[in-house]
Amino acid sequence: MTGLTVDLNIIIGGPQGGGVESAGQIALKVFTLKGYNIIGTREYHSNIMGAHSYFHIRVSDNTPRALRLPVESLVAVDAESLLTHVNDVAKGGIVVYDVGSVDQNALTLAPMEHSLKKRIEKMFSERGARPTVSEAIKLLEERGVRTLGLPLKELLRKTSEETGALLASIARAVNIMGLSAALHVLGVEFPYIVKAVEAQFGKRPKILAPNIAAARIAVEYAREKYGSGNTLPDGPHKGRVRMIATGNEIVAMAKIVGGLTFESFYPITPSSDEAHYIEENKYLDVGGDFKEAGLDKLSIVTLQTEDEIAAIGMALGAALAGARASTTTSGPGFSLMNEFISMAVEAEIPIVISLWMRAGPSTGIATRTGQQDLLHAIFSGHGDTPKIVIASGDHVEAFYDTIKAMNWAEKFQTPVIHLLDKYLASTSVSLDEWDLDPSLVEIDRGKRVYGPVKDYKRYEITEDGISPMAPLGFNTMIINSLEHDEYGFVSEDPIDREAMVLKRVRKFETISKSIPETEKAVLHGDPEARVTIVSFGSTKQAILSAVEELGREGVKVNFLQIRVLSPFPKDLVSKVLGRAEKVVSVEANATGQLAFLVRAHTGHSVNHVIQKLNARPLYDVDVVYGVKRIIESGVERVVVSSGS
Amino acid sequence: MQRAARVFESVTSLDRGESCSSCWNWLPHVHFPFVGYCTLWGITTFEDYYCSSYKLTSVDRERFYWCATCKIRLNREEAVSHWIMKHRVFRGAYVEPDIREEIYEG
Repeated sequence: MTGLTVDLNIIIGGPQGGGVESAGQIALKVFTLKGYNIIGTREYHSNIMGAHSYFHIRVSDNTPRALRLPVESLVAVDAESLLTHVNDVAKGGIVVYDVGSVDQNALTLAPMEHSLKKRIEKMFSERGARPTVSEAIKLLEERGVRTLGLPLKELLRKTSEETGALLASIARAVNIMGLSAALHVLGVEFPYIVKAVEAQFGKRPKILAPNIAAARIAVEYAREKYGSGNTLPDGPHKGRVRMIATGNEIVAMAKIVGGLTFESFYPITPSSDEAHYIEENKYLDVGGDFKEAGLDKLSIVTLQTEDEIAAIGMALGAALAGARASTTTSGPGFSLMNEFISMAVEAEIPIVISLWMRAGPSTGIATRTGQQDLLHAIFSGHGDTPKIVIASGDHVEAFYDTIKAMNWAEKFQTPVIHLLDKYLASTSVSLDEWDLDPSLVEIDRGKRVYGPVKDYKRYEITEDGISPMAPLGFNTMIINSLEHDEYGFVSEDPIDREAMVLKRVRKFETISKSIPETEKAVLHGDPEARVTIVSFGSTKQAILSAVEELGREGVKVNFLQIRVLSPFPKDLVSKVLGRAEKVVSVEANATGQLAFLVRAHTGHSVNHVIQKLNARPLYDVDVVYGVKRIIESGVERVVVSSGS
Repeated sequence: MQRAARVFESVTSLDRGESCSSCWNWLPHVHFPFVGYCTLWGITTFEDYYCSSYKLTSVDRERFYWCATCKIRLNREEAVSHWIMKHRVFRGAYVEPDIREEIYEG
C-alpha cells in the first residue's frame, strides 16, 4: 500500500487438491465485498493432485491490469509453498506459515521438482545454511519481511473440538486459517471473511460452520500473537453487486448471449471449463414468439464427444443444419481438428474454434500458459485455407470477440479461430454488469436464406465471394469436402475448379476489407514514441502496465496490439512500425511467431524480441526489464523468467 | 467426534509411541498427514492419538502401500526400501470424497 492507493498482491500456496482453490476463491470474494477490483489466477501442476499449486491475487482500488511480483503477502500452509516463493515476497510484506513445517528440508519434500530443490539448496548453501523452512524464515526476516507462524495442527484440533467436525473433512481448512490470519494482518475485518466463506460454502452447512470456526480461531491467534493493525479502508466499489469471472466463463457467457446453439468438445485443459459453464447455464428463458408457441425455455446443445475430430465434425454438421456452432480446445486437440478445418474452408461452413493455448509442444506443460499456436492457427488445414484468426487481450475483449467471431463465421461462412490462452482461462477478474453488454454487438448471421429457393445454388459465384446459405432440409444441395460447382455437385472441371478457388480468394479479400484496420490492430500510447512494442493476446495488460511504468521513468514506449492476425492488418502495422526506431515483439513462444508474421506481411523486420518461455504468466516487470535491456544493450533477444 | 473422544486418548499425555501415526489401521490424509482415517473405528483422528487396538504397521504383506514422505504409491518391494530409509510408510492414504472440488477440470 502506498499513500491512499491500495495495491496488494497475495500468493496462497499449497498442495494441488489441498484447498488452495477454495482459499483463493474466498480471497477474491473478500476483496470484492470490500469494494476493490481484483485479478487472480491459479497456477497448478498437471499431476492432478499433490504437487505445489498457488493462487496469485492482486487487489487494487484502481483496475489492476496484471499480476505483479513481488507480493505483499504469502500464505504458505506447507513447506513447499514457503520455499518455492521465498524470493517472491516484498520488503515489508507478511508471510504466514505453519510452525509445524519449520524443520522440513527442501531436499526431502516429496512433490517438489528436483531442479527447484537444487536451486533452493544452492541459494541457501551460499548463505552457509541448510534449505529448511526455518532458514527461509530467517532469510525473509533479514529482508524485512514480517513472518507469522501458525500452529496449524493445534488450531485444527481446536476447530475440530469446538465444532465436532470430522478432522479429515476439514483438513483443508488450514488454507482458510492461513488466509484468514493474513487477511487480519492486512487489516480486513472478520465479518468480510465470514461473508466470503458463506458465499463459498453457503449451500453446504456441514462444512460452512467448521470453516468459519477455523477462520475465527486463526484470526484470534493472529490477533493475540501479533495484535491488530490499521483497518483496510473500503474500496471504491463497496456495496455494489459485481461479478467475478474467469476467462473460460466469460467466453462461455458470450457464446450464450451471442446466440450459440451448439457446442461440441472433447475435454482438455484449459478449455473444458468453458464448455462446462455453457452446459450448466444452457437453459435460457424465452419470450415473444417462442412463448406464444408454448416454449418456456430454449437450450444450447453441448456435447462431449469421443475425441476432437468428432467434436469439430459434429459442430460442422450442426452449422450446416442451421445452428450457430462452435467447439473449444487447446493445441493438441486443435492438431486433430486440422482436416475438418480444411473441409470447413472448402465447403464454406461457419464454425468458431476457441483455441485456448497452453505450453507445448505436444502435451508439454498441460496446465501452464503459452502463445505457441499462433502460426499453427493461421496455417492450420491444407490446400490454401485462409481463415479468420482473432486474439483477445483481456477478459472484456474476449467477451466481445467471441460474439464477433460467431458473427464473422456466419457472415463470411468460414472457420474463425479465436486465440485465447491458459492465463486468460484461469484468471478471474471483478467486473460490472455493464462491462459485458451483448447489445453492443448485434448478432449477424449473414446471407441466410430460409425456405425453398428456386434454382438454389449453395456456392453461387458472387462478386464478394459469399453465397446465400440455406440450412439443410429446405433445398436440394450437396455438401462435401470435394471441389464442386455452384450447386455443390462434385466437379473436377478445370473452369469450375478455378472459379471456386477464386471465389474463396475473393471472399477472403471481402473479409479483409470488411473488418476495419482499426479493429484489427490498436496502437496504445504515444504515437511518437521511439520504441514500439508489438504483441498479441493476453500479454496486453502486462504490457500496458509496463508502458505506464516505463513512462514514469521517462522511457517513451507505445504498444501495437494485433487483434486480428488473419487477415493481417498490414497497412496499419506498416504505418506504425515505419515510425518506430526500435520495434520489440513480446511473445510467449521461442520462434518469434508474431515477428515472423509482421515481417511476412509488411517487410518490417522485428529486430528485438522479449520472450517468456517458462510457461508462467507475463508480468509487467518482465516487460520493463526486457525493454530496458534492449534499449541499453541493443540485444536482440531477452528471455524473461519471473514466476514460480 | 464424540466417539473418537471416547475411544482415543492423546498420546502426548500418555507419553507413548504407539500412536495412530504408526498404526496399521490408520491412513494418513493424502495432503495433511497429521490427520488421518482409522479403518478400524471408521473415524478420523490426529496422528498422535492412541487406542488399545493399536497394531504396528509393517511391510511384510504383498500389497500396495503409501509413502507419506514421498507422497507416492508403492509396491511391496518399493515399500521395503522406503521403510529401510525410515520413510513414513502406510497401507494407504486417505483421500476425502469431495477432494474433486479442488481439482481443476481444465
